[in-house]
Amino acid sequence: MDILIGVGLLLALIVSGIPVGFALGISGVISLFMMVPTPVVMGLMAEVVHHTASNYVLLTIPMFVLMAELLTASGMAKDLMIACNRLLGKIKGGLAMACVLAGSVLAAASGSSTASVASIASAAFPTMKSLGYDEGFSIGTMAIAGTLAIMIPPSIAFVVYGIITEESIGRLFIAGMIPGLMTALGYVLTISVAVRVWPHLAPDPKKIAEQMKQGGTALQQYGKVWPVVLLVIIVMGALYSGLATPTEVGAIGAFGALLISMMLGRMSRKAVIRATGNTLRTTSMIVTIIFGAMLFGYFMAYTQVTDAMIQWIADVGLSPYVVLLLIVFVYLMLGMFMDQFAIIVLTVPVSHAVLTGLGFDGVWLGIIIVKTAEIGLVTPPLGLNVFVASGVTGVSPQNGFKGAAPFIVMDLVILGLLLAFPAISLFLPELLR
Amino acid sequence: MNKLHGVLDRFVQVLENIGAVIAGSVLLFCMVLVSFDALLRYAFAAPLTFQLHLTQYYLLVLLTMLGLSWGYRSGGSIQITFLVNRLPENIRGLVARAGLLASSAYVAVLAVKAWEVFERAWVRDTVVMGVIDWPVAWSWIWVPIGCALLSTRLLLDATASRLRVMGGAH
Amino acid sequence: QTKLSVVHGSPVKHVVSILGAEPWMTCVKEKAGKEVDFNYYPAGQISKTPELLRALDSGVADLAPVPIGYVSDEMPLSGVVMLPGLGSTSTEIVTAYSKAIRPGGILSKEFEQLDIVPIWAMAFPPYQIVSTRGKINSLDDFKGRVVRSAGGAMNLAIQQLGGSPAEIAIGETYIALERGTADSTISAFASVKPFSLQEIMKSMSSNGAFGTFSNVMAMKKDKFDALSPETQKVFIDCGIQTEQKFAQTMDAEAKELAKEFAALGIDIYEFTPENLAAINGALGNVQSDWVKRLSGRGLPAQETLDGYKTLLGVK
Ligand code: NA
Ligand code: NA
Repeated sequence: MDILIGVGLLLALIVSGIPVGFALGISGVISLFMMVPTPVVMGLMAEVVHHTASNYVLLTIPMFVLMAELLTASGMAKDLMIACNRLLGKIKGGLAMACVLAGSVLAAASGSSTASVASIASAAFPTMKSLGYDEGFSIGTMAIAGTLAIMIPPSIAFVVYGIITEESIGRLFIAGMIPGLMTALGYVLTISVAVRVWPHLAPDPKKIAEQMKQGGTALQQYGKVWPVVLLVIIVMGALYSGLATPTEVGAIGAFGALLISMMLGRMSRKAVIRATGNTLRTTSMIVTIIFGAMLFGYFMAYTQVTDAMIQWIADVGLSPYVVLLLIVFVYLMLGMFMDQFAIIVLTVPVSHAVLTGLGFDGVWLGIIIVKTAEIGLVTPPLGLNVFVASGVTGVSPQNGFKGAAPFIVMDLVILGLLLAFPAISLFLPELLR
Repeated sequence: MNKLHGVLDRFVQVLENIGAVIAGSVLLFCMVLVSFDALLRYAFAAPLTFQLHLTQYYLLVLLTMLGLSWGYRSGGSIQITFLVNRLPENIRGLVARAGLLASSAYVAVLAVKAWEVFERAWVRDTVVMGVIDWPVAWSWIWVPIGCALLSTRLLLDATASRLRVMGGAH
Repeated sequence: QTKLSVVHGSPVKHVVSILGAEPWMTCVKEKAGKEVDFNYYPAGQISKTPELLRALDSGVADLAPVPIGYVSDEMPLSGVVMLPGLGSTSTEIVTAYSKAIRPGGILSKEFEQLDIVPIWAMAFPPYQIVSTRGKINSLDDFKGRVVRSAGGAMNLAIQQLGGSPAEIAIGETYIALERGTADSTISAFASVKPFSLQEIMKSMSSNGAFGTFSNVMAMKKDKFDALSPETQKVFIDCGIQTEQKFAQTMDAEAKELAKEFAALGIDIYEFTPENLAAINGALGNVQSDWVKRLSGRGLPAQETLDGYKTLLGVK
């Protein structure tokens, strides 16, 4: 009952147009008052903001966003998008596919999907819009491209899962590679189908071809891409050579972007100030949503609804596959309302014990659960990646959710494949054993 | 009344701008500090032992909190509007003001509760032992400042004679 | 019936849960009957590890395992337990530390001032040095090494040994060691597998004393005082039972893990007496530095260190 009141209140506040972060916090606090004494609510409120702001991993968000903003401010992001479009321009929806490609590359350097989606959105949206892409579809594409960060290693989600379950973090990383690439391909496929079914989503390639030619020959345009390529090499190199941790690599990327663009004479003081301001705005918005979501999460914890659901499934005594499907269903449901990391921390101890007890592989389970987390990041009403993309671009989140819908369908298909064929996930880790 | 509101609003704007300038400078400083630390560790096996604590408990809190209200004012918020947009103008305004007031109250409580933690640390002069003694109060102070500013901003917006459009900085 | 909320930040499979909070609650429920019941919130669902002490203060938790390493601001002297070079097994450390924190003990004041009552204490067997590159055999081998540190006293220890402490967030330790961002870390045997370190480590010492981490399950004083004297006794008795069992299990487990890792081809080694003496000599500087800094703030650090050493039976 409490859970229905709390979720109902959240939905009511969100649709009355209150900023999402505040809606989460207010409904969380009011619902908490129903369940626990006032001093406890106050105690939770005293900690939540400082806790959110003093999280070292949070640093990835401003740093990757700053990197993207600097790329945008210097015009290098636009050069890249134009070149990508030239390359993929003959294909309808080429630029959207370029976003997925960029998302995959960023995913290999970053473990945070929030940081990833914010960077893609800052870098790609202005160009996509100016070329005539549908706004909602653009936001959906960026939000979904950002989810790749938690499947393609390194991934914070796998680290958390590995620590909780004592499954091998290394094996989880390797196991995530094929599902991650498969997901990226699935998104590209979705784009090519979607733009054929709904032609208004993407501009006609012939029309942009005219526009593109104004920027010089193809070779000239490709030639302009090298600063970005250099930056990608710096970021990936910094991580894989051991120069920096995944959290630090964003700072090096941002610093690199600043230095490169300054050396090319493409960065004015004004542009640096604008990029910094945009980064601050995005960061403060994300932080407000995170601590609001944490308060709502505390309420969810007090209802003990997650335990109850998974325990109930465990208790009824069904066949292993029915249990598996039910638990996956629970994850998809929870993913709509809760922060993905909160879900993993709260439920994985129980679900991992139940499902490995039934004979399922723990690493494979990690892939399945992270896949549901990817989906949860883009499903309404609480879809963090869509919120971030829409916050960065100013497009309304409901348009973003609409734009993400085709990708969610593809994600569900991939989830089905991963469930049906564990070998997709386990082939590589077995090979390297 | 309107005049007073205008004066207060401008005053808060000045505070927000100052906060944003400090936060922005700290953001760039973080970028340099973290990069520098990684380089020192990699090239000379001589990392800055204070970097993580300084960044995590002071710089990050400062930059997120001092930029909070400016970020909101300059369009850093998202809301779902398809339902409210169908309401008649006057009801829509009423709903928006009520939402802003509730948000202001919520953020005000966050500010007061964090202030209490700050005050306790300040009065008792508590420090965390690291390579140096880190004063706890200076890590917390940014939370009440940032939240109080944001709460005031939300209150001013709720009581403005003409409602400002939320979000949509672009 | 009194309902008490037990809160902690560790995963439910972590030793804080399975060897601490859970057996203690079971013991209490068995012996105290229906007088008390618990609401159990593990895994940081309502309060994360660094915030547990404040969670007790605000009433978010009635009972919480206070992580001594995170509360040097409120309980600086209690940090004596984490200093390197003191105690060689979990049993030794826990037995001495438990006496120090109970009423009348040398650390009891810090608990009284915060209006909390210690129920049981836990401490890992002393940390060991784990290397993913060359083996660290002696004091000299620390030179030029980048050692992952959790911060605080561990930074000082690594510096005294001649290494470079790199503070790396716990969740990034695996990636950092695998990529060579750091080439060694200080870890308890029990913390190796949760972070999959056995996959990438080449060697691990087994007789070093590089400090430990301790949690003290503490209860709000007003809630404790509200219990009947019999129930209070049950809480403490179960506490002593829990902490002893915890320490014995951890010591035995460390030995088993050492064997298990050796079977994986990892070099599990002991420092020679001379090398160990040199290392512990360097670590002694951490103790004197700790005393100097706390004394500077007017705290009886030397008395505390001496008293704790007496309880441990070391000179
Ligand atoms: Na990743
Ligand atoms: Na969702």
